[in-house]
Amino acid sequence: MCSERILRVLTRVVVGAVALLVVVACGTTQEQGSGAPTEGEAAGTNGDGDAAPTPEDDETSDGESQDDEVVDLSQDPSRLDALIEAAREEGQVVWYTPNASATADEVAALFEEEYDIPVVVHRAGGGEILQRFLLEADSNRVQGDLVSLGSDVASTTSLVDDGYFECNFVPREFDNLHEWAQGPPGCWGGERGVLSIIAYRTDLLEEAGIDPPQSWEDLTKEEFRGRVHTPHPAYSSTTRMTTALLSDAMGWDWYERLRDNDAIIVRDQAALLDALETGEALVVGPANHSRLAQAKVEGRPIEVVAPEEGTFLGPSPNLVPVGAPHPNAGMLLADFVLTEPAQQVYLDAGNIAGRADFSSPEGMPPMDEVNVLPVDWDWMIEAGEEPTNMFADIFEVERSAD
Amino acid sequence: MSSTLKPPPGEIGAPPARESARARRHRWTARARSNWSSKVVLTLCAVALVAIVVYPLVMLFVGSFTLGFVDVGPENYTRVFIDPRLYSALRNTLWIAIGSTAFSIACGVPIAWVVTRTNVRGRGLLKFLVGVAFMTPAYQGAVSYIMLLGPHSGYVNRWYMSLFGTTEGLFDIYGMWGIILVTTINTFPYVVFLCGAALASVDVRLEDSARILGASRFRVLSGITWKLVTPAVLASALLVFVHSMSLFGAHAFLGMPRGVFTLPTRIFELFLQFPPDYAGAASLSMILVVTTAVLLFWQRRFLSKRSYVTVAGKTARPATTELGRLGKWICTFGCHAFFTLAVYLPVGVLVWVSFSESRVTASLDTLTWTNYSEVLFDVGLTKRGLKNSLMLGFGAATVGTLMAGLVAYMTLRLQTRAVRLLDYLAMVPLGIPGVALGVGLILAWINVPVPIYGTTLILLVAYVARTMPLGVRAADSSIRQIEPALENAARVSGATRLRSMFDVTLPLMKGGLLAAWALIFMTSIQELGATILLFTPGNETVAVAIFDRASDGRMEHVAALAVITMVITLAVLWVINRLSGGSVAARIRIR
Repeated sequence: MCSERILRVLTRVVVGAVALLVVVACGTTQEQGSGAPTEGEAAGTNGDGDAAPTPEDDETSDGESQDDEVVDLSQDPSRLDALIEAAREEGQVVWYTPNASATADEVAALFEEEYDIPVVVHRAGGGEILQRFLLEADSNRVQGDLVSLGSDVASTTSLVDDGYFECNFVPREFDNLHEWAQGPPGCWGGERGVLSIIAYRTDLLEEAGIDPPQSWEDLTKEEFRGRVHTPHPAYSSTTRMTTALLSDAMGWDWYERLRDNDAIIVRDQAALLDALETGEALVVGPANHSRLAQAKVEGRPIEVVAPEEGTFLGPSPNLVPVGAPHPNAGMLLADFVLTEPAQQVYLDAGNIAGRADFSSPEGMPPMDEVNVLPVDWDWMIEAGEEPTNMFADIFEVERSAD
Repeated sequence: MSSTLKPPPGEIGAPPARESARARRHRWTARARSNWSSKVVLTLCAVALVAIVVYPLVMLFVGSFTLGFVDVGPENYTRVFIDPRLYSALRNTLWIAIGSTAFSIACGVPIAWVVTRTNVRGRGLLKFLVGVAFMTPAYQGAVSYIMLLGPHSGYVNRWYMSLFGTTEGLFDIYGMWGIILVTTINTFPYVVFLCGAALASVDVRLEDSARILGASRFRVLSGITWKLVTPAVLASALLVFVHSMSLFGAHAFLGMPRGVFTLPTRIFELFLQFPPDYAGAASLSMILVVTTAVLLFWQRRFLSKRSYVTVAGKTARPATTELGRLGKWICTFGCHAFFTLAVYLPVGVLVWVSFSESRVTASLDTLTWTNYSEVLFDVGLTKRGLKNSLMLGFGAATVGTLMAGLVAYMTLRLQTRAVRLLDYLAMVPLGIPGVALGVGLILAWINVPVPIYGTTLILLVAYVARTMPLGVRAADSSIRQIEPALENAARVSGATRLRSMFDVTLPLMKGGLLAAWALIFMTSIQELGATILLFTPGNETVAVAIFDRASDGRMEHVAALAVITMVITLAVLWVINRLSGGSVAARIRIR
């Protein structure tokens, strides 16, 4: 009787699964039938058929308006007053930023002091901001006036190409930025840089008599077996960019050797610092430099190394979205984050300042000694999720098959 | 008397001519009004349920086809199903669910029995510990256990290594067993709550009769008590099974390091990629939804074969099994051994870290209050978070309990097909990962002229939706035991359906409803998955603050916030309990 019941349940499960697949298949064929021609339309117009211009539709008109309407403060600083005036009239500015909350709050406070315009800081991870911004933009309800997706320049660039962002503003300090922090003119300037590095525990390595790692290759050494923690590219944009870059520079077989060395996969950057601080990991990488360098400055037994083979350096673009409720205030803030007081805040928090006339952050090797790999953003956009999927194949599917 | 009979107009309140006529008229009006009012309530409830639960999910599904920034290719929906990553993820998820359900039942049912039906001393403490285990979110449990049993850094392993001079720890929390352990700790309270409630209301006379007829104690337990609590065991197994499949935090913290990837991590990755793959994520979420529906259907079929009514109007006094000295000792030892793993160690380590300057170098000499003072007085985000979470917890628990009670009541008393559908709908969110619900809610409310999106209200809606299954299950298993005859008696005496419900069934359900309130309150106050997408500046919750502190690497702050949240939650529950004259704890019903 019992087996009979199990059989019946099994039948139901199978029927349910088949029904699900049928539904899925139907959805697919429908999509096949009607999807292709309407694809362009579907982009952006999502359910809301009214007159508000959608990002996609705007693309061409924006392209035209870019030329004649660019507010270029770097060439014509006198337009700043008009911008301040317009921003004050708008009353406030909403800033979507993946900065650490203390840093973002400090910059916001400085801005309020300078211009007397309140800043609403929406701090979240780059991934969450991207989600939220896309959903809001596609519903024609953009809420942010200045949006940063962190170091995910690939996504930012595709969104610029799709017309989600205004490209009509050049901040005063644009020409003072590092070359890597200069986006397409009029589109963005990077407020700060994030470097992917290796970090290790000085005391534990000394105790065990292990030579400190100097390169990516060193992470695959036998003495680090099971003690290397490395982040999953799906959960952090910097890691995603770094993985794509390293897959090219080091080859996938490096990742395979890393897996064979029992490397531990963690979800995010916070977990890396945690693993190092507790001693769970001897070495972590590729890691965002800022919190780790800060920890070193605070006196923790941690050392930060820029790997010999070269590494990823990502700028953090700030952009004003199309349809922002307070666009002028957004531009004013985009200008402000590159000014000296704001840049100093970033530097003090352990970031690499976007401006070339600032020194390297404390606890870091001097930037001119760091081997920064050149990034071909077009290739990066082309590669898309492929590197992440390859990483997952190596660490998920193949590992669990063992 | 046909229900289509209408009372003559103007009849209500008219002075009666004759006594019998008055009684007759009263019955007519009552019947007519009862139909009318119950229909209105039913409709309102259905509308609210659809708006809060179904509408966002439909929008998620629709959105997965139409969202502009994805190139919706023809292969989008099927692609995820042919991905080999899905199958390893499915296999892992299934093992986690089976393991956690088995362990939760194996630990939860005996604890429920000890706490409700024995004379073991310190049952109040045990009750309290179950509550503490429940209000620790799974991701916090995972963090605590990494601090305890991290293979090289956990306190336990470090102690072991220094004791025996080895370089290898004794335990490794990462991997499948670690996930099952942490999940079980998070889910066994469901079993204790639901089975405890059922055990407490088992009619003792049934057991007594069996004893008188010569059945052994064990025979009574297995033949009668166990059979009577079967609905509760099934209901809780269902909850645990589906819930354990969707605990992203525990999976990500403990599984990922050893390559154990699961369905929730896969769904999360699809959301995070660029452009976000809503089609893939929605279709994977469907697996969880379908699992929930199938299990629920099976549970229904199983339960419909028998009656579980035990509250039938005459007093059923609470009975305790008098245990001997040895029995008491075994029960006490067993329970506390389990709670060492479930509460003492993980909560202890949180408290310890919350008082330390740095959890790595923490020692008795360096204990400090600074984490608490910073979190409570210096950081604006955490202060706002605590306030908002409390408000939202109260709001969601109250609204959610009301709706859950109505849904459960109608499902059981109005046996129509439409109503049964309501019950299924109310269970759907159980299988929806928080992040998916968040996306659905944004799509659902962003362009509605009612100011919900961008306000605290959207969080309230999210919490009500997410906790609906819990509320409905808790209310449902308590209604199931109430004999409809009690209510029918009220209706025969002339009360309307609503009146009989409010005067008879509700008071009897009070325990179940208060349990639902507490469950919803405790769950909402820790919700993270949907909140992280939906919060706006100014209405951050305590979970957002914890997440923020964690991504800043301040685990000491995380621990302090977790402890504060726990204390506040306990305080709220204690106050509620006192206000209702001590009946909640009795009727959350771990008596």
